[in-house]
Amino acid sequence: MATVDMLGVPPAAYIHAYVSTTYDSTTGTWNNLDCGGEVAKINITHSTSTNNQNFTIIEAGYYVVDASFRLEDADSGTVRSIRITVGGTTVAWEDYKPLDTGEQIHEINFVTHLNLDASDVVVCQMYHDHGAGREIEAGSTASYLKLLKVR
Amino acid sequence: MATTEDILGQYPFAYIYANTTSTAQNIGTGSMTSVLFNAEQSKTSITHSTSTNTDQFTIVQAGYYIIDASIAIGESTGGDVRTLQITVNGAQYSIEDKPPLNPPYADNAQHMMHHSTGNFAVNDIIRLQVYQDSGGGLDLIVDVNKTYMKIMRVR
Repeated sequence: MATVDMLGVPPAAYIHAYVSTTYDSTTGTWNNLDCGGEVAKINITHSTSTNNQNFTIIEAGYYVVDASFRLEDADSGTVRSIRITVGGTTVAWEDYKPLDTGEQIHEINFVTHLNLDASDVVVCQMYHDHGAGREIEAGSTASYLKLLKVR
Repeated sequence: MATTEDILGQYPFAYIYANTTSTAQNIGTGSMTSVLFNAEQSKTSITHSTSTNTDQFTIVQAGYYIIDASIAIGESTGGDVRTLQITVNGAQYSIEDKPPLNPPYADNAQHMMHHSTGNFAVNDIIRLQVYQDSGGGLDLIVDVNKTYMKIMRVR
């Protein structure tokens, strides 16, 4: 667990990273959330250039996970999904219904909390079976991952 | 509610991560059903039995909590809705409806989550319930990372 400081307050650990360049996600497979931008980062390891889907925990503890995807969508296929993996194992997963024809943007938000150890590698992934590539839109409020240590 | 800080200025911790390892629970069509949890990954200062009344989580420390509930249920596009509900002392506390889906995943399941927060008192009893109207029973998937209940005290 995280060490407490002289005032009894555990060190903060927080990151808000986001997709900085819109990219195409592949149909029928899990796509990483590639985060080339950061709004804030403290006590979590993340690179905006190399393996930028990986978030490595420094301070063990309990974290709230807040993830969003802004997906180009058009009501084809059966499902849109978000999952969180830790060390390659899926630990949280939610499915969503594709939006009706006419909706060009599907914004999916996902929250969970996890008990994480130091060196754990967290990855957020997204799935769709639209039948063709769909864009994951760039932007710090569009497609992002936030991790906040609460205990 | 009274919550006392310890000498480090920390509020007492309370946490449970419960799941099931038994035969998949069948959720009947048309009735709200409490989910049974007969295994625990972690438990601190929340009362829960893995053998008796396994649907019940009893608060030991008053305070503010985050609830993270996850269900994987057999896929079916039958009916109109799948619902996750949290009850406190038998009364509806939070509820979320989902459309029925038939995803192409190997586990033949629809994956649903529901989140809630609350200021709970000592002896409050929390349950997770599921509703589906597919027209027949649907099994919950036995998987520690798919069908579980996490309750964490944050203040």
